[in-house]
Amino acid sequence: MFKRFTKIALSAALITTLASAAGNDIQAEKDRIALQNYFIEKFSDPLGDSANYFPYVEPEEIKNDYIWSLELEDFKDGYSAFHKPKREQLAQVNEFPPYMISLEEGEELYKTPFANGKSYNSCFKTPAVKQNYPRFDTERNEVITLGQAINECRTENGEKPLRYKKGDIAKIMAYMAYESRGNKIDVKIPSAEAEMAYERGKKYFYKQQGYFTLNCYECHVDGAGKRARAEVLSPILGAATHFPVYRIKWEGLGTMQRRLSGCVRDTGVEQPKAQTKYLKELEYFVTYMSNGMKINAPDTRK
Amino acid sequence: MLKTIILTTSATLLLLSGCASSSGPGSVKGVGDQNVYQAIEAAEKRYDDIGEIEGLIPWRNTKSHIKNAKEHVRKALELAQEAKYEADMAIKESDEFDKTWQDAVPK
Repeated sequence: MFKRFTKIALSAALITTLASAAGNDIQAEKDRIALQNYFIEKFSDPLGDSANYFPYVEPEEIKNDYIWSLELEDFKDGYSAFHKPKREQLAQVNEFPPYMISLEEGEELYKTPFANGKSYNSCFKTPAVKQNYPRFDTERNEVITLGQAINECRTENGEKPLRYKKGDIAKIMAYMAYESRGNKIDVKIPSAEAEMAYERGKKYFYKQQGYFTLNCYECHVDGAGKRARAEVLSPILGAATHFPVYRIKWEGLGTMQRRLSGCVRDTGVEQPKAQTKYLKELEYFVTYMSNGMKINAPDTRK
Repeated sequence: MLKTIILTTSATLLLLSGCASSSGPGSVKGVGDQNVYQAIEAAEKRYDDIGEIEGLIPWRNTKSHIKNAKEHVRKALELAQEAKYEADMAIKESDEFDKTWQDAVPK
Protein backbone atom coordinates (compact mmCIF):
# COMPACT_ATOMS: atom_id res chain seq x y z
CA MET A 1 0.00 0.00 0.00
CA PHE A 2 2.77 2.34 1.03
CA LYS A 3 4.75 1.41 -2.05
CA ARG A 4 1.80 2.16 -4.30
CA PHE A 5 1.19 5.47 -2.59
CA THR A 6 4.87 6.40 -2.91
CA LYS A 7 4.89 5.50 -6.58
CA ILE A 8 1.79 7.57 -7.22
CA ALA A 9 3.32 10.49 -5.32
CA LEU A 10 6.56 10.23 -7.28
CA SER A 11 4.73 9.91 -10.57
CA ALA A 12 2.74 13.02 -9.73
CA ALA A 13 5.98 14.77 -8.84
CA LEU A 14 7.43 13.66 -12.16
CA ILE A 15 4.47 15.07 -14.10
CA THR A 16 4.69 18.34 -12.17
CA THR A 17 8.43 18.70 -12.58
CA LEU A 18 8.37 17.73 -16.25
CA ALA A 19 5.69 20.30 -16.86
CA SER A 20 7.82 22.98 -15.23
CA ALA A 21 11.11 21.83 -16.76
CA ALA A 22 12.70 24.43 -18.97
CA GLY A 23 13.53 21.95 -21.69
CA ASN A 24 17.16 21.16 -21.08
CA ASP A 25 16.44 19.19 -17.92
CA ILE A 26 13.57 16.97 -19.10
CA GLN A 27 15.73 13.84 -19.36
CA ALA A 28 17.58 14.73 -16.16
CA GLU A 29 14.29 15.04 -14.28
CA LYS A 30 13.19 11.64 -15.61
CA ASP A 31 16.48 10.16 -14.43
CA ARG A 32 16.22 11.78 -11.00
CA ILE A 33 12.67 10.66 -10.33
CA ALA A 34 13.42 7.15 -11.60
CA LEU A 35 16.45 6.89 -9.32
CA GLN A 36 14.59 8.22 -6.28
CA ASN A 37 11.73 5.87 -7.07
CA TYR A 38 14.16 2.96 -7.32
CA PHE A 39 15.63 3.62 -3.88
CA ILE A 40 12.32 4.17 -2.13
CA GLU A 41 10.96 0.96 -3.62
CA LYS A 42 14.14 -0.93 -2.81
CA PHE A 43 13.93 -0.13 0.88
CA SER A 44 10.14 -0.18 1.24
CA ASP A 45 10.12 -3.92 1.91
CA PRO A 46 13.69 -5.22 1.85
CA LEU A 47 12.73 -8.63 3.21
CA GLY A 48 9.89 -9.22 0.76
CA ASP A 49 11.97 -8.01 -2.18
CA SER A 50 15.22 -9.51 -0.97
CA ALA A 51 15.44 -11.86 -3.95
CA ASN A 52 15.44 -8.83 -6.24
CA TYR A 53 17.49 -6.36 -4.26
CA PHE A 54 19.53 -8.22 -1.64
CA PRO A 55 20.07 -11.74 -2.98
CA TYR A 56 23.23 -12.35 -0.92
CA VAL A 57 22.18 -10.78 2.38
CA GLU A 58 20.93 -13.15 5.07
CA PRO A 59 17.15 -12.69 5.69
CA GLU A 60 17.90 -12.62 9.42
CA GLU A 61 20.20 -9.64 8.94
CA ILE A 62 17.61 -7.81 6.86
CA LYS A 63 15.00 -8.48 9.52
CA ASN A 64 17.15 -7.34 12.43
CA ASP A 65 19.43 -4.68 11.00
CA TYR A 66 17.59 -2.99 8.14
CA ILE A 67 15.27 -0.03 8.53
CA TRP A 68 12.18 -0.26 6.34
CA SER A 69 9.91 2.17 4.56
CA LEU A 70 12.38 4.98 4.05
CA GLU A 71 11.38 8.37 2.81
CA LEU A 72 13.38 10.45 0.39
CA GLU A 73 14.91 12.68 3.07
CA ASP A 74 16.21 9.67 5.01
CA PHE A 75 18.82 9.02 2.33
CA LYS A 76 20.77 12.10 3.41
CA ASP A 77 22.42 9.85 5.99
CA GLY A 78 24.03 7.47 3.49
CA TYR A 79 24.06 3.85 4.59
CA SER A 80 22.98 4.95 8.08
CA ALA A 81 19.58 5.61 6.52
CA PHE A 82 18.76 1.93 6.24
CA HIS A 83 21.22 0.12 8.49
CA LYS A 84 20.34 0.18 12.20
CA PRO A 85 23.84 -0.50 13.63
CA LYS A 86 25.34 2.16 11.35
CA ARG A 87 22.64 4.65 12.31
CA GLU A 88 23.36 4.07 16.00
CA GLN A 89 27.10 4.47 15.42
CA LEU A 90 26.56 7.71 13.50
CA ALA A 91 24.34 9.10 16.25
CA GLN A 92 26.98 8.23 18.88
CA VAL A 93 29.84 9.76 16.88
CA ASN A 94 27.85 12.91 16.24
CA GLU A 95 27.16 13.48 19.94
CA PHE A 96 30.52 15.24 19.77
CA PRO A 97 30.94 15.73 16.04
CA PRO A 98 34.57 15.29 15.02
CA TYR A 99 34.21 17.99 12.37
CA MET A 100 33.35 20.77 14.86
CA ILE A 101 36.88 22.16 15.24
CA SER A 102 37.36 22.23 11.46
CA LEU A 103 33.96 23.86 11.09
CA GLU A 104 34.95 26.68 13.46
CA GLU A 105 38.25 27.08 11.61
CA GLY A 106 36.28 27.20 8.36
CA GLU A 107 34.11 30.01 9.67
CA GLU A 108 37.19 31.98 10.67
CA LEU A 109 38.84 31.37 7.30
CA TYR A 110 35.68 32.44 5.50
CA LYS A 111 35.33 35.63 7.49
CA THR A 112 39.01 36.64 7.44
CA PRO A 113 39.44 39.43 4.85
CA PHE A 114 41.88 39.00 1.96
CA ALA A 115 44.98 41.22 1.78
CA ASN A 116 43.05 43.63 -0.47
CA GLY A 117 40.34 44.06 2.18
CA LYS A 118 37.69 42.08 0.33
CA SER A 119 36.39 38.70 1.49
CA TYR A 120 34.57 35.61 0.27
CA ASN A 121 31.34 37.50 0.77
CA SER A 122 32.48 39.85 -2.00
CA CYS A 123 32.13 36.87 -4.35
CA PHE A 124 29.29 34.85 -2.81
CA LYS A 125 27.18 37.50 -1.00
CA THR A 126 26.30 34.82 1.55
CA PRO A 127 28.01 31.59 2.63
CA ALA A 128 24.70 29.69 2.27
CA VAL A 129 25.11 28.80 -1.41
CA LYS A 130 25.96 25.10 -1.38
CA GLN A 131 22.54 24.16 -2.75
CA ASN A 132 23.37 25.86 -6.06
CA TYR A 133 26.67 24.06 -6.70
CA PRO A 134 27.95 22.65 -8.96
CA ARG A 135 26.50 25.22 -11.32
CA PHE A 136 26.87 25.41 -15.08
CA ASP A 137 28.42 28.64 -16.31
CA THR A 138 26.70 29.38 -19.62
CA GLU A 139 29.34 31.90 -20.68
CA ARG A 140 32.33 29.65 -20.07
CA ASN A 141 30.33 26.55 -20.92
CA GLU A 142 31.72 24.54 -18.05
CA VAL A 143 30.68 23.11 -14.72
CA ILE A 144 31.85 25.21 -11.77
CA THR A 145 32.13 23.40 -8.46
CA LEU A 146 31.99 25.17 -5.11
CA GLY A 147 35.69 24.43 -4.54
CA GLN A 148 36.55 25.95 -7.89
CA ALA A 149 34.41 29.02 -7.14
CA ILE A 150 36.22 29.47 -3.81
CA ASN A 151 39.61 29.31 -5.49
CA GLU A 152 38.54 31.64 -8.30
CA CYS A 153 37.36 34.08 -5.65
CA ARG A 154 40.79 33.87 -4.03
CA THR A 155 42.81 34.35 -7.21
CA GLU A 156 40.59 37.22 -8.37
CA ASN A 157 41.48 38.91 -5.10
CA GLY A 158 45.20 38.26 -5.30
CA GLU A 159 45.31 35.22 -3.02
CA LYS A 160 46.88 31.86 -3.79
CA PRO A 161 44.47 29.01 -4.64
CA LEU A 162 43.99 26.25 -2.07
CA ARG A 163 44.49 22.53 -2.60
CA TYR A 164 41.19 21.03 -3.66
CA LYS A 165 40.72 17.82 -1.74
CA LYS A 166 41.29 18.61 1.94
CA GLY A 167 42.61 21.15 4.37
CA ASP A 168 41.46 24.77 4.34
CA ILE A 169 39.21 24.44 1.30
CA ALA A 170 37.29 21.60 2.95
CA LYS A 171 36.97 23.67 6.14
CA ILE A 172 35.62 26.68 4.24
CA MET A 173 33.23 24.44 2.31
CA ALA A 174 32.12 22.83 5.58
CA TYR A 175 31.25 26.25 6.99
CA MET A 176 29.39 27.22 3.81
CA ALA A 177 27.54 23.89 3.86
CA TYR A 178 26.68 24.37 7.53
CA GLU A 179 25.21 27.75 6.72
CA SER A 180 23.28 26.10 3.87
CA ARG A 181 21.79 23.38 6.09
CA GLY A 182 18.11 22.89 5.46
CA ASN A 183 18.27 24.41 1.99
CA LYS A 184 17.21 22.04 -0.76
CA ILE A 185 19.75 21.12 -3.42
CA ASP A 186 18.79 23.00 -6.54
CA VAL A 187 21.27 22.26 -9.33
CA LYS A 188 20.15 23.66 -12.67
CA ILE A 189 20.68 22.59 -16.28
CA PRO A 190 20.34 25.96 -17.99
CA SER A 191 21.45 25.23 -21.57
CA ALA A 192 22.00 22.55 -24.20
CA GLU A 193 25.73 22.54 -23.33
CA ALA A 194 24.82 22.00 -19.68
CA GLU A 195 22.63 19.09 -20.69
CA MET A 196 25.57 17.59 -22.57
CA ALA A 197 27.76 17.99 -19.48
CA TYR A 198 25.04 16.29 -17.42
CA GLU A 199 24.80 13.45 -19.94
CA ARG A 200 28.57 12.95 -19.89
CA GLY A 201 28.51 12.85 -16.09
CA LYS A 202 25.71 10.31 -16.25
CA LYS A 203 27.71 8.19 -18.67
CA TYR A 204 30.78 8.32 -16.38
CA PHE A 205 28.53 7.09 -13.57
CA TYR A 206 26.97 4.18 -15.42
CA LYS A 207 29.72 3.08 -17.80
CA GLN A 208 31.92 0.23 -16.67
CA GLN A 209 35.65 0.79 -16.82
CA GLY A 210 39.03 -0.13 -15.44
CA TYR A 211 40.81 -3.24 -14.31
CA PHE A 212 37.74 -4.42 -12.39
CA THR A 213 35.24 -3.39 -15.11
CA LEU A 214 33.21 -1.56 -12.46
CA ASN A 215 30.91 1.41 -12.67
CA CYS A 216 29.58 3.65 -9.90
CA TYR A 217 26.13 2.06 -10.35
CA GLU A 218 27.43 -1.37 -9.35
CA CYS A 219 28.21 -0.27 -5.79
CA HIS A 220 26.06 2.81 -5.19
CA VAL A 221 22.75 1.94 -6.88
CA ASP A 222 22.45 -1.81 -7.33
CA GLY A 223 24.97 -2.46 -4.56
CA ALA A 224 23.58 0.03 -2.04
CA GLY A 225 22.58 -1.97 1.01
CA LYS A 226 24.70 -4.93 0.02
CA ARG A 227 28.19 -5.51 1.30
CA ALA A 228 31.70 -5.20 -0.06
CA ARG A 229 33.46 -7.47 2.40
CA ALA A 230 32.41 -6.13 5.83
CA GLU A 231 31.34 -2.71 4.57
CA VAL A 232 27.74 -1.78 3.81
CA LEU A 233 27.66 0.12 0.53
CA SER A 234 26.12 3.58 0.52
CA PRO A 235 23.44 4.86 -1.87
CA ILE A 236 24.23 7.56 -4.41
CA LEU A 237 20.93 9.19 -3.54
CA GLY A 238 21.66 11.81 -0.89
CA ALA A 239 25.43 11.59 -1.33
CA ALA A 240 25.65 15.25 -2.27
CA THR A 241 23.78 16.47 0.80
CA HIS A 242 26.48 15.67 3.36
CA PHE A 243 29.78 16.68 1.76
CA PRO A 244 32.29 17.78 2.83
CA VAL A 245 32.46 14.97 5.38
CA TYR A 246 34.74 14.13 8.24
CA ARG A 247 35.91 10.64 7.41
CA ILE A 248 37.40 8.57 10.22
CA LYS A 249 39.71 6.99 7.62
CA TRP A 250 40.96 10.42 6.55
CA GLU A 251 41.19 11.75 10.10
CA GLY A 252 39.82 14.99 8.76
CA LEU A 253 37.45 16.72 6.40
CA GLY A 254 37.46 15.94 2.72
CA THR A 255 35.60 17.31 -0.26
CA MET A 256 33.32 15.43 -2.61
CA GLN A 257 35.99 15.73 -5.30
CA ARG A 258 38.33 13.83 -3.00
CA ARG A 259 35.80 11.07 -2.42
CA LEU A 260 34.84 10.78 -6.09
CA SER A 261 38.49 10.70 -7.08
CA GLY A 262 39.16 7.81 -4.68
CA CYS A 263 36.02 5.99 -5.72
CA VAL A 264 36.90 6.22 -9.42
CA ARG A 265 40.40 4.93 -8.63
CA ASP A 266 38.84 1.93 -6.91
CA THR A 267 37.33 0.81 -10.22
CA GLY A 268 40.90 0.04 -11.28
CA VAL A 269 41.86 3.14 -13.25
CA GLU A 270 44.39 5.91 -12.67
CA GLN A 271 43.17 8.28 -9.99
CA PRO A 272 41.73 11.39 -11.67
CA LYS A 273 42.87 14.72 -10.30
CA ALA A 274 40.40 16.97 -8.53
CA GLN A 275 38.56 19.55 -10.64
CA THR A 276 39.24 17.79 -13.93
CA LYS A 277 36.40 18.04 -16.44
CA TYR A 278 35.65 14.36 -15.78
CA LEU A 279 35.23 14.74 -12.02
CA LYS A 280 33.36 18.03 -12.26
CA GLU A 281 30.79 16.57 -14.65
CA LEU A 282 30.50 13.44 -12.53
CA GLU A 283 29.82 15.64 -9.49
CA TYR A 284 27.29 17.61 -11.54
CA PHE A 285 25.33 14.43 -12.31
CA VAL A 286 25.64 12.98 -8.81
CA THR A 287 24.47 16.22 -7.19
CA TYR A 288 21.59 16.61 -9.62
CA MET A 289 20.31 13.19 -8.53
CA SER A 290 19.89 14.62 -5.01
CA ASN A 291 18.00 17.69 -6.18
CA GLY A 292 15.18 18.53 -3.77
CA MET A 293 16.93 16.98 -0.77
CA LYS A 294 17.96 19.09 2.20
CA ILE A 295 21.62 19.79 2.88
CA ASN A 296 22.89 18.30 6.15
CA ALA A 297 26.63 18.80 5.65
CA PRO A 298 29.12 18.56 7.17
CA ASP A 299 28.64 15.06 8.50
CA THR A 300 30.71 12.12 9.66
CA ARG A 301 31.47 8.93 7.79
CA LYS A 302 33.62 5.90 8.36
CA MET B 1 51.12 0.04 -9.94
CA LEU B 2 50.11 1.20 -13.41
CA LYS B 3 52.08 4.40 -12.84
CA THR B 4 55.19 2.34 -12.00
CA ILE B 5 54.69 0.27 -15.13
CA ILE B 6 54.34 3.34 -17.30
CA LEU B 7 57.37 5.06 -15.75
CA THR B 8 59.54 1.97 -16.10
CA THR B 9 58.35 1.43 -19.63
CA SER B 10 59.01 5.02 -20.60
CA ALA B 11 62.53 4.83 -19.21
CA THR B 12 63.20 1.60 -21.08
CA LEU B 13 61.85 2.92 -24.34
CA LEU B 14 64.15 5.90 -24.00
CA LEU B 15 67.07 3.55 -23.55
CA LEU B 16 65.98 1.31 -26.41
CA SER B 17 65.70 4.25 -28.75
CA GLY B 18 69.18 5.40 -27.86
CA CYS B 19 68.03 8.69 -26.41
CA ALA B 20 69.35 8.25 -22.87
CA SER B 21 71.64 11.01 -21.69
CA SER B 22 75.23 10.15 -20.88
CA SER B 23 75.82 13.26 -18.84
CA GLY B 24 74.73 11.90 -15.43
CA PRO B 25 77.28 11.26 -12.70
CA GLY B 26 76.85 7.48 -12.92
CA SER B 27 76.99 7.27 -16.71
CA VAL B 28 79.75 5.68 -18.71
CA LYS B 29 81.25 7.62 -21.55
CA GLY B 30 79.83 6.46 -24.87
CA VAL B 31 77.02 4.31 -23.46
CA GLY B 32 74.37 6.95 -24.02
CA ASP B 33 75.09 7.01 -27.73
CA GLN B 34 74.12 3.34 -28.16
CA ASN B 35 70.90 1.47 -27.80
CA VAL B 36 70.58 -0.88 -24.88
CA TYR B 37 71.44 -4.02 -26.86
CA GLN B 38 74.58 -2.42 -28.31
CA ALA B 39 75.57 -1.24 -24.85
CA ILE B 40 75.29 -4.72 -23.37
CA GLU B 41 77.11 -6.24 -26.33
CA ALA B 42 79.94 -3.69 -25.96
CA ALA B 43 80.23 -4.44 -22.26
CA GLU B 44 80.35 -8.20 -22.91
CA LYS B 45 83.00 -7.77 -25.60
CA ARG B 46 85.12 -5.62 -23.31
CA TYR B 47 84.67 -8.14 -20.53
CA ASP B 48 85.90 -10.86 -22.87
CA ASP B 49 88.89 -8.68 -23.78
CA ILE B 50 90.02 -8.86 -20.16
CA GLY B 51 90.27 -12.61 -20.45
CA GLU B 52 92.69 -12.20 -23.35
CA ILE B 53 95.10 -10.22 -21.22
CA GLU B 54 97.33 -12.41 -19.17
CA GLY B 55 97.09 -11.97 -15.44
CA LEU B 56 94.24 -9.43 -15.59
CA ILE B 57 91.21 -10.09 -13.40
CA PRO B 58 87.91 -8.23 -14.11
CA TRP B 59 86.52 -5.85 -11.50
CA ARG B 60 84.20 -7.54 -9.08
CA ASN B 61 80.85 -6.26 -10.40
CA THR B 62 81.35 -6.27 -14.17
CA LYS B 63 79.87 -9.70 -14.84
CA SER B 64 76.90 -9.19 -12.51
CA HIS B 65 76.20 -5.78 -14.10
CA ILE B 66 75.94 -7.45 -17.51
CA LYS B 67 73.68 -10.15 -16.10
CA ASN B 68 71.50 -7.55 -14.35
CA ALA B 69 71.32 -5.41 -17.48
CA LYS B 70 69.96 -8.36 -19.48
CA GLU B 71 67.45 -9.15 -16.74
CA HIS B 72 66.27 -5.53 -16.59
CA VAL B 73 65.78 -5.45 -20.34
CA ARG B 74 63.73 -8.63 -20.18
CA LYS B 75 61.62 -7.22 -17.35
CA ALA B 76 61.19 -3.90 -19.14
CA LEU B 77 59.98 -5.65 -22.27
CA GLU B 78 57.50 -7.66 -20.20
CA LEU B 79 56.22 -4.49 -18.54
CA ALA B 80 55.94 -2.71 -21.88
CA GLN B 81 53.94 -5.62 -23.27
CA GLU B 82 51.71 -5.63 -20.18
CA ALA B 83 51.16 -1.86 -20.45
CA LYS B 84 50.30 -2.21 -24.14
CA TYR B 85 47.87 -5.02 -23.31
CA GLU B 86 46.16 -2.93 -20.61
CA ALA B 87 45.85 0.08 -22.91
CA ASP B 88 44.44 -2.15 -25.67
CA MET B 89 41.92 -3.67 -23.26
CA ALA B 90 40.82 -0.28 -21.91
CA ILE B 91 40.00 0.88 -25.44
CA LYS B 92 38.39 -2.42 -26.46
CA GLU B 93 36.19 -2.54 -23.32
CA SER B 94 35.30 1.12 -23.61
CA ASP B 95 33.93 0.45 -27.10
CA GLU B 96 31.89 -2.48 -25.74
CA PHE B 97 30.57 -0.61 -22.69
CA ASP B 98 29.62 2.37 -24.85
CA LYS B 99 26.91 0.10 -26.26
CA THR B 100 25.60 -1.18 -22.92
CA TRP B 101 25.91 1.48 -20.18
CA GLN B 102 22.41 2.81 -20.81
CA ASP B 103 20.99 -0.55 -19.69
CA ALA B 104 21.99 0.23 -16.09
CA VAL B 105 20.09 3.53 -15.84
CA PRO B 106 16.93 3.09 -13.71
CA LYS B 107 13.91 3.69 -15.90
